[in-house]
Amino acid sequence: MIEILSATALATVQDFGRFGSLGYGVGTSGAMDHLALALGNLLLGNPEDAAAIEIPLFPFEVRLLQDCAFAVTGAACDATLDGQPLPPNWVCQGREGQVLNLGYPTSGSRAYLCLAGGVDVPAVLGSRSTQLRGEFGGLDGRALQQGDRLGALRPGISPLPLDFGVLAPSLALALHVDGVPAMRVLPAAEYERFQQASRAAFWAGEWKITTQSNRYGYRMEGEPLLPVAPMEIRSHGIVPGVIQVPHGGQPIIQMRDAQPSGGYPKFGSVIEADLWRLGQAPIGSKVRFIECSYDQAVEALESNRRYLREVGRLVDLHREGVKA
Amino acid sequence: MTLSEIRQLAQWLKEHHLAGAEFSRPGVQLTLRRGGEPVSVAAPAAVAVDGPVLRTTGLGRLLLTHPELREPFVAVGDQLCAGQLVAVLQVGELLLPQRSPTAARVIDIRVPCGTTVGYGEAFLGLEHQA
Amino acid sequence: MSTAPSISLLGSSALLFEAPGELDLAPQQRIWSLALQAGEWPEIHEAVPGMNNLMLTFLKPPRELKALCERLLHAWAHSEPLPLEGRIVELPVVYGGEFGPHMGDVIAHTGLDIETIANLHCEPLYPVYALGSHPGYCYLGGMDPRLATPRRQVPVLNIGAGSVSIGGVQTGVSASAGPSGWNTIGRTEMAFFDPAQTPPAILRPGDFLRLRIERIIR
Repeated sequence: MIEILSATALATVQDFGRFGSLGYGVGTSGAMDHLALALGNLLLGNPEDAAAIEIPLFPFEVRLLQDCAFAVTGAACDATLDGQPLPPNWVCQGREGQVLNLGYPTSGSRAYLCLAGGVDVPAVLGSRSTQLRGEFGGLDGRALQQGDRLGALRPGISPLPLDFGVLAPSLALALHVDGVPAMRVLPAAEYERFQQASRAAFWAGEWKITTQSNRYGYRMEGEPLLPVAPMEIRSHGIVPGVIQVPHGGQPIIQMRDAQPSGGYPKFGSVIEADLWRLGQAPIGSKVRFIECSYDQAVEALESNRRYLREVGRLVDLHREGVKA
Repeated sequence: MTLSEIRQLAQWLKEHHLAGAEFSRPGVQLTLRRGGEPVSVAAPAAVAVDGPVLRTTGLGRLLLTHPELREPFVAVGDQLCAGQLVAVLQVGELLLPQRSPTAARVIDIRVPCGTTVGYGEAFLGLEHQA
Repeated sequence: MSTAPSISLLGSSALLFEAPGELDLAPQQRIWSLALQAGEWPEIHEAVPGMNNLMLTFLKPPRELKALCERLLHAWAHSEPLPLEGRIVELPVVYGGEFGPHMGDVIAHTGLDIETIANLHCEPLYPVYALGSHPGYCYLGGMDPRLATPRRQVPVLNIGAGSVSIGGVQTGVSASAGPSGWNTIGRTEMAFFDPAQTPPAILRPGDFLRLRIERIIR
């Protein structure tokens, strides 16, 4: 069990997301950087989609109320355990009474505090992710507050070898255009109904993640995307990554807590395999977009899976080697 | 142990002019020799302090700065505590800790960051307090 | 307007099928039928009806996309309207004033006065076409086209639960507080969603909403 010491807002319990309830108007939620979540769980020997705490604002401080193995993945934040530096993307055995402090990130924007076995909150509609709009899931359907206590499903001294880390996905799966982090995008239904000059500018330009960006959506700033003629679109299901363009032409990328449906014109969709890159892009930073095909998007998913499989294989080898 | 792992070990030996290595874990005993005298290696849990040096715990790339951080783990002149992290060994995507088992002062750093190392290579010179 | 359905991608995560023609109940009943079928296909995780459209989310993105699209078009061509008879739920609505912050915009766009707007809005029996937007939210069909008002240029950050709104040619009632790009003209009281229940949404496609004027605040 851990206790939240800091008064930081916006930290929530998330797993991979809540699927199968879109038909009730329930969006998927889930970790903004699912790779970081998967990595933390791999390091701890947890099920890959066990729930963790997603931390978007820093500093963030917790006290361990009992012995518990934990991992901190995602953003490389200035982390200390009882004042001793903890490297990024690392797993270790925590002891009762220790204080874990996560300071401002030097890279990335969201950190994941993963606990042995996963965070112990009830699953609602098949997931432990926090559904903020509906006020259910995670811890009582809300962001964490100072004083909250969260249990781990497997506290105590871990039998697994700990005290090692992993190379961040931002390094292992780096993708940049002209030095700027990039995400691949598949054109959507209304793509051809935007002006040619706007389309060209979308791929060629840098896009800034404005301060009005969060788990619901990222409001982007760049060359306005202008339609050939005004469009009224019927409401339809959407998924995270869909790039909607309201009047004015500044696009909003729907993120994990977005409405599961929408009716604004769609320019394209950031591919599922690259959503974690957006999830780690800090407010105020710039990104580029790369046009890709469906086959390339599917291959990118496979590339992510290969990375996780390889990490899993090396973790297993390391554990066997240490036991020897 | 897979064939590709054996190939990788052999490649490391070749590239870094190591004569050989012995590797064992449950169910596996592997000895690689390149001619000359075989070198037998252990995979100790902690960095071996052999006289006034720290030695690596295994094969990999020795990193003196964490890939995501700007400052190196330690600098010459630093006073280390027992258990302090002084470097990481990169093995594929894993980063394995190289920790000083005792309190000591860093006198010199003998291996450039990013060097591929074998088992038991001396990479840090230490001075124990009297 | 196109006479053929269109299929497009939502990244590599889902397909969007859009039925041709005017927004209407008969095509929506065929969409419900198509959803029941496609929801059983091995590639598909969930079939999510929208307004005369259907999103199919993938369990795993299929390699043979073209074959899936052909199967979908074939199933649509042979789909029969599924009547899905449901319940009729009546909701009292307070129109205008603090509960209808955008009533002025609807008046300005439609050229109608508040009395006419409230009466035209309460006239139809609204079929629930689909759920979406947020937990328990119902997309309703059958709004009088004279009330159509485009979605707002700048969405509102937070509009209360029970808000009755118009977006383009559609109308709906929000089930919880949150952002909205629609024009809010009134407020009602109703519990639309309970995660502890099975199913958690109180209303479902095939149900009907009848709105009744409780009060008009001028």
